[in-house]
Amino acid sequence: MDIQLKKGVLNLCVLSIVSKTPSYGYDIYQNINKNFKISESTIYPILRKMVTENHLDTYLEESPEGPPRKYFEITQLGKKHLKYLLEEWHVFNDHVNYIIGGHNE
Amino acid sequence: MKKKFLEALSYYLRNLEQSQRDDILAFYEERFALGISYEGKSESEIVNELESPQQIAKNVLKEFNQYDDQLFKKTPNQIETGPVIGVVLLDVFFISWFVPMMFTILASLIAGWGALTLSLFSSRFMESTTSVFGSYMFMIGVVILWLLMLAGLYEGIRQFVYWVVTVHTKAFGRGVPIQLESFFNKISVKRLINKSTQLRFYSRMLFVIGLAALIIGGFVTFAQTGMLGGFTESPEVVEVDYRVTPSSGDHLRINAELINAGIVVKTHDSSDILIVGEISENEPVEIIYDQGTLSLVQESQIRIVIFQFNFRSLSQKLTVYIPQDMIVTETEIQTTNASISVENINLAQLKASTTNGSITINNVLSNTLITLKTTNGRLNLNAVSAVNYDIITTNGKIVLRNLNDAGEPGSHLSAKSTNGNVELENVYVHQVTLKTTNGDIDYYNQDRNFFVSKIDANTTNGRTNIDVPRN
Repeated sequence: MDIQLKKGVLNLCVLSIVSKTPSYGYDIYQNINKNFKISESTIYPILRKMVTENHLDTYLEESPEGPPRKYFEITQLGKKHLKYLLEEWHVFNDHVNYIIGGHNE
Repeated sequence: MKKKFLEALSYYLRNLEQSQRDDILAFYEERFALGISYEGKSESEIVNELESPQQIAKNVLKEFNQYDDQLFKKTPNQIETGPVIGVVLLDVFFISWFVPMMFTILASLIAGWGALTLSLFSSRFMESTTSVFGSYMFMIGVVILWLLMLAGLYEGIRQFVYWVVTVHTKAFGRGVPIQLESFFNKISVKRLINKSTQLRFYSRMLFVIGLAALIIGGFVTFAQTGMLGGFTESPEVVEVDYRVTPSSGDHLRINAELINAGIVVKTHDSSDILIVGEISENEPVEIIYDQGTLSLVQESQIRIVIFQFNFRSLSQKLTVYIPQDMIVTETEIQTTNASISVENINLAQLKASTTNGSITINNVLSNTLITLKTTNGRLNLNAVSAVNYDIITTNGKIVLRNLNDAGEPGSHLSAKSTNGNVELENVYVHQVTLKTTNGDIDYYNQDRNFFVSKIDANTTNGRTNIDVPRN
């Protein structure tokens, strides 16, 4: 899959993963990577940016099996942003499908 | 493996803001920890799994819109003259004096604070407090805050030194060497504390505890000792009424050492020595009469007063009455924040000094020397006769009227002020020295038949007006 295409939707993917359940950086990466290959090193700056923009919040969770993990959870602002991105995505998707479909006919 | 990897990554991310870089490094640090403990991998396995530090740095920098090819070049950048000159100028004109100055200020700050802290442990402080609990609490607060402040200073110095290093390496087109940078990070207290949530919590708690101990302990201690003047009652007034009958043939010698009490010495129509007046209970005056020597000594209770809210200040004054026919040999009066007045008396020698009060001598006959000294007060002499006069004030006016008006003229008179006028009227003394810096000098004698043999009048910023016959 094309790298530029992936990048455009990374924000949307990260936000929707975290909105379902709080998770830690590596977990988020693996979750996306299962579906389409991305580079781990692009995820981390995105996570950080989302925290500074207040779309995500972090907390440390201790674990009996090892060191504490830094969990990300979605904020109210993040939820709003996710909603906005989803709408944008659907509109975009529709348009692209329409164009592609039209092309096929 | 992990350490090397992270150091390399840190190096390639050197252009990022510290917090951005720290966050990215933290991700990878966590990544290692998770891989090792949850998946049982070795450090080298994880390193193999990950992209190379360069690749990661490129991606990260692109995400932060800070990608620059130059950062990944093996060869050092061309050294440009501009930044080098800049850094040399910085060294010569700023760092050369700023660093020594900073260290001087720091040293004196630390010494000063240290001394203050130590002084709190001194016996005088402990004795003056009634609440041992409060004072210990206060001291603990001071020590805690003092240590925290030291840590803060240390961190500030570390950051400043690091800044200087960065400026220099950047001027030569390089980043700070990784080893040096990790050394600076290693010795950072802030980083150490921020690393662990517990430590961060404890350090904040320590600050809060220190502050609370300081405030509560200080309040308890000082409110009780009266060091917070606002919480004390104004001192009570004590009436002085002292009477003694001198043996016949006693020659009187007066010696007064006062602090905040004014004093008036005069004669009365009785054969007793009488002292009346009002004194503060905190500053009792001990009066002793012993074979012709009358001594008045005021003691003060030394207290440290931090806030003085007492608007009503107590005026303390003593009046000393001396039998009219008693022979007075020597009178020596000393006070600090009050006035001195001597009236209607014949004596041998008079010596009076105060700091923040005026001195008034009225109708006094001395057969030797009158020495008067004040710093912030007026000096008034009227109808006085003596052989020699020595009169000094700094910020007050000197007014001399009718000296040696009748009888023998005086021999020497010296009147000196710095910021006041010197005014003489009918002063019959052979040799007169008048001096002031920022005041005027006036001298007029009504008796045109008396010739002053020598007048030495000197003012720097004032006018001199002398209308006296002289030879």
